[in-house]
Amino acid sequence: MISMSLVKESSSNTQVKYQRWNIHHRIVHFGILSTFTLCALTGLPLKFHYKGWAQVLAKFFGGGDGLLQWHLVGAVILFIVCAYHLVYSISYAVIKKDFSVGTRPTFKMGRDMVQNIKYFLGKVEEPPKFDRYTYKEFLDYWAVFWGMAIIGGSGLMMWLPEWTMKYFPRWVLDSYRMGHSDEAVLAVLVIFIWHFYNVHFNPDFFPMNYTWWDGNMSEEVMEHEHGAELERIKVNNELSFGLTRMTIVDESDINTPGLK
Amino acid sequence: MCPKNRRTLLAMVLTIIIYLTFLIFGSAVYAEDSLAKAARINEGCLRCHGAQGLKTKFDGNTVSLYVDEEKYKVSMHGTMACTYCHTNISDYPHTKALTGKALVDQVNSECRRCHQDVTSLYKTSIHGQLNKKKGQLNAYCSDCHGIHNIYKKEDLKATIYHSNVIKTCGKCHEEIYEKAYMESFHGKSVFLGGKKAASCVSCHGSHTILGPANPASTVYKDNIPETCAKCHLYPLENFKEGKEHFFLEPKGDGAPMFWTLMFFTWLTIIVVTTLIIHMELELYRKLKNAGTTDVNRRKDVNTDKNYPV
Repeated sequence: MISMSLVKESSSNTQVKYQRWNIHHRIVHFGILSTFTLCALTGLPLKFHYKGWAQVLAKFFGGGDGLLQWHLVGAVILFIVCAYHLVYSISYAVIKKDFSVGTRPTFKMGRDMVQNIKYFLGKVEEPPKFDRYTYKEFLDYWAVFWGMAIIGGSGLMMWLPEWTMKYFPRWVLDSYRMGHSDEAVLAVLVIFIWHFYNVHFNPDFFPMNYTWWDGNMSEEVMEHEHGAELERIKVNNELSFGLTRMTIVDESDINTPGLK
Repeated sequence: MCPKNRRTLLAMVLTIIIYLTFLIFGSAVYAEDSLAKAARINEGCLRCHGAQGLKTKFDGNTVSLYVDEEKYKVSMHGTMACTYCHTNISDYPHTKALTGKALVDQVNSECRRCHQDVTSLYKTSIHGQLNKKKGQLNAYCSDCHGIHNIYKKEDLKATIYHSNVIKTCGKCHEEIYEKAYMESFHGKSVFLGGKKAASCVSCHGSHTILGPANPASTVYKDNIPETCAKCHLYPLENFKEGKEHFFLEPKGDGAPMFWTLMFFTWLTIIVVTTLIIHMELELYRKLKNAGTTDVNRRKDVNTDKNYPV
């Protein structure tokens, strides 16, 4: 309702939107979001069993056995979602013959980070112009890979102790359990402090950055958040990685000078 | 008039019927009587012992003599007379009353009168063997099963219920319970009400419990794979390699786990601190920009489609 009325009100302005996430990306994000929350809610009570809230949560999920059951449900779906992302990305690259990786590490990311921190401290007056992905998003993206390797790998080993024990002595499994829950606490903290700041509590985005929902970003936000990418698009008239496409929300302004 | 032999037959049948009637229902009459008798005895005992705050001094400590009537009545032995176990109490004041270890010894020695089958097993266990030694205080029946609060193991109130038995064992085996078992997945799951994970007795057994050094023990090194296989699919040799109850300490069996924990704890602290510093710096710059005409300040914040103007 709000967005509809806003479009009408701002009909004099061209609303250029850049698609950053197509439906596959958004499904993956939602899949990770929901299963991560479920796994956190059913896993943390085990780590902090002596806390009152942990016992309340455990009771809600049906005691120790219920916690494990729901944790496994979440974990299996999470694995499927991550596999979906990998299969999608690889088949996209093969079919479109585009092997560039949007979130690959670049020297520019390092330079951006240094410049950004200098900007925060007031040493330079100009913030960096970010490319397709900022160094923050780079971190968020690859953290999931690290998390899936550490948490997912150790989780599988604990789920199938009969298999693990064929090849490893007990201390490997017990160490993995420590790693599993501690890495999970790290993940929960990073998500609820760092990621929530970036997409929710950051004054530029509060109450939230809606890209996860509709996949789009307006030109104004693009200028601020991905300036270098926007310039490249404008100069080369070429959309990044084929994943970005432009839509003009306001049809009355479809012929205004801009981008197609 | 009936012939004489028929009257004899009738008398015999009647006698047999009366005899059988007494045989069948006589015991019930007696049982009724013993229940009533127990209730009468208990009423007398609870006249004093049912009062909260009844206590005595023993060895310089204050010992409560209170018995919770409601709890006792619904316990397994709730219909039995107090004096069934407290055999040496027959008068008032209690001239033959025992205290301390003597009392524990006496009451626990009464259990065998009904539970003979268990007593013979218990005597072979490590708890039972040590109790034979004079002056040695060890786990008696009452230490695990409770005293006036004995319930079946399926009962949530029971001290031997799956998620309570770990605390019951932990009363004596404090260090291994708190520092090792409660850090394990089994321990946490059972503590939170899990019924599938192993409690102490799942691996160690109960009345036949033996120390890990005894080759007959379920937790003797070579027997461990079989014991694990009670729940886990097959008896793998690796089940016995390494310690189940390790302490999270920098040296010893728990060292790999301890250092893994340390690594991830410090990783978490460093990563989260770094990210928070980055956040704070960004917010600091945003605060400085606020209200200024800094060109880098987002001017569109309130015109984004999702913000009501």
